[in-house]
Amino acid sequence: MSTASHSPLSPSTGAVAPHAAAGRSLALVLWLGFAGLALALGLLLAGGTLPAGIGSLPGLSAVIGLLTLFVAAIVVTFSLRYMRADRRPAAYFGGIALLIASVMLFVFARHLVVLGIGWLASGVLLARLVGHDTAWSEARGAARRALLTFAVGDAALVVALVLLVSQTGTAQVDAVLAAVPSLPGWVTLSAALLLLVAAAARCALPPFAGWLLSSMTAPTPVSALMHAGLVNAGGFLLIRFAPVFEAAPIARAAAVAIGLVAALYGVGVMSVRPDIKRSLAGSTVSQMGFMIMSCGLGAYAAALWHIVAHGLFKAWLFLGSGSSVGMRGDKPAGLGEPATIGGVAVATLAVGAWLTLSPDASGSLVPLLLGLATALATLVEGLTGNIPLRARLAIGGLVAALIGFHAAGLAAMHALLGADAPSLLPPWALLALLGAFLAAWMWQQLRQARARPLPAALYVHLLNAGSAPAPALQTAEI
Amino acid sequence: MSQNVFARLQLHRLRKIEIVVHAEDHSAVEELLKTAGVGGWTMIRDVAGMGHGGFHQGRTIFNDHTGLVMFVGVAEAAVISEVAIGLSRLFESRPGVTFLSDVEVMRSDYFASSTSTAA
Amino acid sequence: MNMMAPLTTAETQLTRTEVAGLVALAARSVPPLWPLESAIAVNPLAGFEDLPFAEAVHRAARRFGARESLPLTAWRGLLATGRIDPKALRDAAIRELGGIYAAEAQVAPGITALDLLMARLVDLPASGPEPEQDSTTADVAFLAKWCAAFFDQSQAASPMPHRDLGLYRAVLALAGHDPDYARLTGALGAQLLLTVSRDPLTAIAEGLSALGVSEGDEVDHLADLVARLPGWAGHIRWRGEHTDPANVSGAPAGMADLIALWLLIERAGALAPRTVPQATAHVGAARLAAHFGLETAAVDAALAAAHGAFGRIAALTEGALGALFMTAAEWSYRNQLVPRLEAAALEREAAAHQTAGAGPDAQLVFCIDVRSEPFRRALEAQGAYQTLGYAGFFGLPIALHRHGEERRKRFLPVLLAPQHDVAEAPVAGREDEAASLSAELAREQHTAALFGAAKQGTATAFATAEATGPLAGLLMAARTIGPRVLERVTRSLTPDRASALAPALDCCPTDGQRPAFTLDEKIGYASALFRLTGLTPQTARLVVLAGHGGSAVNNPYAAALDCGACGGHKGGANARILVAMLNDPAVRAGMAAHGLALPETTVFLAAEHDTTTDVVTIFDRDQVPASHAADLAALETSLARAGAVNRAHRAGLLGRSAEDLLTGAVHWGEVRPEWGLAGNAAFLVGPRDWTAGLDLEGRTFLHSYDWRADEDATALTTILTAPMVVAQWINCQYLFSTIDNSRYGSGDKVTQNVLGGIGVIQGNGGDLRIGLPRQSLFTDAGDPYHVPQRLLTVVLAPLARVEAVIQANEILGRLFGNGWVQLVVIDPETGRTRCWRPAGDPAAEGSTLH
Repeated sequence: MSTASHSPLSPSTGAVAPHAAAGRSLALVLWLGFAGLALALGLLLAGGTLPAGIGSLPGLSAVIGLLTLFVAAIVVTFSLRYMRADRRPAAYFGGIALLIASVMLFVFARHLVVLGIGWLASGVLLARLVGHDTAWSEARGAARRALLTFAVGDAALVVALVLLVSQTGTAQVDAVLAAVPSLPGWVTLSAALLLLVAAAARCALPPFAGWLLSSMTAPTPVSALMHAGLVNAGGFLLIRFAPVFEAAPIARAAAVAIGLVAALYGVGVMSVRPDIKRSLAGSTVSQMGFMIMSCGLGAYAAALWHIVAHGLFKAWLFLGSGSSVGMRGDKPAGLGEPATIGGVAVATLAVGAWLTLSPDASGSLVPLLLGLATALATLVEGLTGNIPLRARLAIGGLVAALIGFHAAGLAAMHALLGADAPSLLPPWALLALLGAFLAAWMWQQLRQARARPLPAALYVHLLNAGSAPAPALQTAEI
Repeated sequence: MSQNVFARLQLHRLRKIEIVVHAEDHSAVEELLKTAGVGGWTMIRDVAGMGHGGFHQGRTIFNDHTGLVMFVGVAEAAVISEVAIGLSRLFESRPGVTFLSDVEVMRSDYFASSTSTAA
Repeated sequence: MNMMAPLTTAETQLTRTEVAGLVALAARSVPPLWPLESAIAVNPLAGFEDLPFAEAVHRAARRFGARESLPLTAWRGLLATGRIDPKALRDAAIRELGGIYAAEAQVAPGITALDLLMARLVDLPASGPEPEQDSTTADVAFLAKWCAAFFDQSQAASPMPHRDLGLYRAVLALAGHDPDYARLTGALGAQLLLTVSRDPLTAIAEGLSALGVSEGDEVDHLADLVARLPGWAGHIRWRGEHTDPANVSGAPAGMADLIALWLLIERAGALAPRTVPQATAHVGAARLAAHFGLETAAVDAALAAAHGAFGRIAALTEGALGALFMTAAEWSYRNQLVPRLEAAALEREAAAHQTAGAGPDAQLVFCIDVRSEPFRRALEAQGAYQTLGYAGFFGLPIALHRHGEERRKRFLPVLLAPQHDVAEAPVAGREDEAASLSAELAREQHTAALFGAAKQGTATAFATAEATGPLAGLLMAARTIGPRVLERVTRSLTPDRASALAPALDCCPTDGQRPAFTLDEKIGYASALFRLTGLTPQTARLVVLAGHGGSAVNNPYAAALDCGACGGHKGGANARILVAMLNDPAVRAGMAAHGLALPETTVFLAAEHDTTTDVVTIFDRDQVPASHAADLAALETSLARAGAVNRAHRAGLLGRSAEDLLTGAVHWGEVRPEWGLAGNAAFLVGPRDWTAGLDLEGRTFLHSYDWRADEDATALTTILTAPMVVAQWINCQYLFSTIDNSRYGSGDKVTQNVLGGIGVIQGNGGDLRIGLPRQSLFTDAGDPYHVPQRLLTVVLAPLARVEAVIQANEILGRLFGNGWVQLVVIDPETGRTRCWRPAGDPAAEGSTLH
């Protein structure tokens, strides 16, 4: 090239843009925050000064805080490359910084007003990030939808908090929770139900699932952060206010019911979606349902571990969603032969029946036994596949290691949270709940093994889940 | 060969259609043949010749979508007419020529029409 | 056609074959759309190539609801940064006005027509900010939803019911359950659902007749419907024309299915009115006058006089002004390139009489891809290396059955159908490695299947998330903070695929009996390399055939960085196959019998150029005889040095460090690992010693060609009708994706959502997206990095020969004559340069070389 002035390809991105530096600083702050919090928690644990018990929960706050900071640090570091061409970098990185700050605020709040402010702010900030591309009407619509849903949930939360404060005469979380047993039944029940509504809206459980299922207008890293760090705020709320729920068994039963519905519905949505992101969103609805159900059953440690592990799992899948290009064609996606599935289901139920004979059968039984079914099914399928022995052993080893991770995680949460709540349901009801999952699973696997489609009406309903209702079109008279 | 030989042969009267189009339109023509119910056809690539557009070169090495292709299909008269009707619409905006003729074939089962998918 | 007239029936409703003919014509309005796993650049306006460029852009803009050019502000930005020569813009304006006299004519006291036009081009306010990404209308959303469900090829565990009935009937079967359909079409829709024909062709005939579309208007009517979902329509074309039928047999669909669905919606009165972006930018004459400080009276006089020049210039649309800018961009480029090429041609002619020195140490054949040019230049600077340009599939029309993959893939330009099936097999002496690689692949696939099934299972989904969460957290951190370390670790744990497996020539995988190639075929493909590039049989000790591919992870557009000539795959396999042929003694003997006797000392080597990292991998190194080890070592040193030089240069263009390019190549968050073919501008046909002295900035496709060795013009015909056509598709894809990134391109990568393993949608739904994403074309600041301009082809060959080739190949007459490609011929014998003037060019009488 003879003259530089004519060079059509002269670089226009010479110096580091200021937003990149800001993003880098934010990433650093988040990584440092994560490391600092981890260190603090470690020291506390080592010193044995961590007070156990559901009422005051530094363990819960620390775990949720760690998860949020870790995912946020990953997401912001990822975004330094991914969002390099973003039109509004200040709004993007600034929005994430504020969002994380607001989450920290309500997670570590010891005062109900602070908790409420953090919670409300996080909703607004999250909705703004869903509509980050402000030049896109669909994104603005999705943000509006999220905001409206949050408004319902947030209103419920505010009423619940006001009710608790007015009845207990204090706004200190610990004091309120300590006073719960002395409150009249209608107060605890109303507060618990209102808190459940707030949690369900944030967790995107039906009938509030629409905002999450239509939030694909968010940049991919925002989705990762949302599915890993924000939606599980509902679970945090239920565990944080566990004494309120324990004083209101009807609310716990409602949580179990809505959780079960969400768990099954979400799996259905996931299984029919042709696009990766909404399929993942369906999965989140399902996982959040399961987690809220566990909370209702009183299996707090299992629920908290689910929040952590699912958060990591879902952030990983969302950030990696660009890898799902490639056509496979129609392959059965079942987990083994129907006979194997049936065997695993029967064995799980049998173990469940045996365990419920013991007097201390608790709500943790359901998640534990589903874990058992998963382990059995994957081990059988992994070890019997039509592949070289070496490969089968490697898969078996991997599954065993993952089971180990799982067990260790659960144990750690138990250590942090202490005892689960007293069992809500009688043994036969726990078995029935377990049976519902296993029956739905067998139906699903059988259908997939035989390549049978879903009933048409159900299929269409699941496919449409989360679609913004299209405005009826006026016959053009223009 | 004597007349007797022909007399002994079992000959069947059918119609033949020959279509010369641009190679890029070949899938459109195939679609028409299938729709009309022609069971099979012959396709000859890189047809060269002289026409009102000048001389058409035949072979190009790395591009199947340039040049001309020729289809030869044989079927019952009604089926071939169907093809021709469809082609008449295609030729409204695409270049191409078509020849129809009566032919006799020996093995008529080779030229059976595929079942039409019309509801 | 007259001869058909007696056959047309007098019925009001069309016959099925008539409809099939109309559908075939309507389908031409969109080009096929390749799935992203083998992304192929196509011209989104391919269906309009029969028209002159300007007319095509105008009509396509109306049909697709797209912009005609970049926004004026973007063009002005390019002018301000010197990427468009102001003089060229002035020249373009003068030509637009009808020549220098008309341009200098006074339209008002002291003001020329040129002043007015230049004011509109560079000074007067342009239209407002970017029009917003339009929301999907309800009709489009409805059909796009069902297309997505129907065509899904990997995502949903519970696929759409009734797919075996075909798209049209499957949607009819489900629409009754769909509240979206009821909302969209109302009572009329419900009634139609019961009565409409179940055969798509018959339904189209019914629809056209019910809507009263008159004869002659049918194709336009149907084409407008097709263009409402160009992505899915393009996918349907790909399924019908460019893939193995077995791959799509479970869910049959043709364009008639899609059109029949559109007509159903139209008959229900539910078709959204088309919004064509308003060409609003014309300013009022008053505004123009005010800019020049003219009084109203003077304006009236000006409007009345001067043949209405005043009003005409004021009324020019932004699209028309953009077209002038594009011409200016093309001229800016041509004016600096062609004189240098002319001078180089003269120099070369003069040098031809000198005696040749020693031959090169090695010869390397690269793909014509624009990214090869700067690397070749960097390599040539390292020593006595001669490089050549050839289509990156090395002339082999093959389908490759990759080990561990179920479907064969087409490793050839999409203009061709595969002639040979080749499978990968263990390299001799590496059977153990191959076996462990097999086991590894099996384990990976089985693990993935297991994970996929477990995370979807109603009872297993929860524990799967809990158990894999911690591992996911670790992997996530590693991929984000230390992707290169992770990559090194992963690589050290698995056997190297390329050294364990190689494409096998002796066995055709489809019947297991025949060899994949006969000896004659091998000789033919081996000789074609020489015939088409002008490579002489006096080859160097090492001859390297270098395919190419990009490096990108977690990037739906990764295949768009690979070799287009290899069907959107990496080109190493094709290079290895042709090298195996060229090293085969029987092939050498056969070539010698045809006058191509190569020195026995020549060894051919296959390689692959990674265009993201500029690392060149040499395949099958251990098969190089000891006698050539030193040559190879020297070459590898030079390749590494050239790679470092080019990497540093490219890093500057990306605004990053060379080291960061290596990180970006393996980082899962990187949205722009390299610039790809952005900036592509010219296709040069001639020997390398003609262009070797010039810095062509990575903007040129270089195809080697020696006019002296091509008396019958076969090579030139091939080059212009195949590689150049591919280059033109690429050029047009970049051009149109840039001028309207939301219609002809796929928009912002960060909100894309991979669909069905096939392609991407934006956000929650809408059409399957076509073209390239914003990050591939625009800088971080949002300025166009790729300047939209049409391909400039420069051929070094006798004028008469080029003219004869154009005459004999209609496609060339169309591309050059309609201005899709600009042609310059430099005649090596006379040294004269001629430009081909397109039809309708104001400065030309007709379409000939002047």
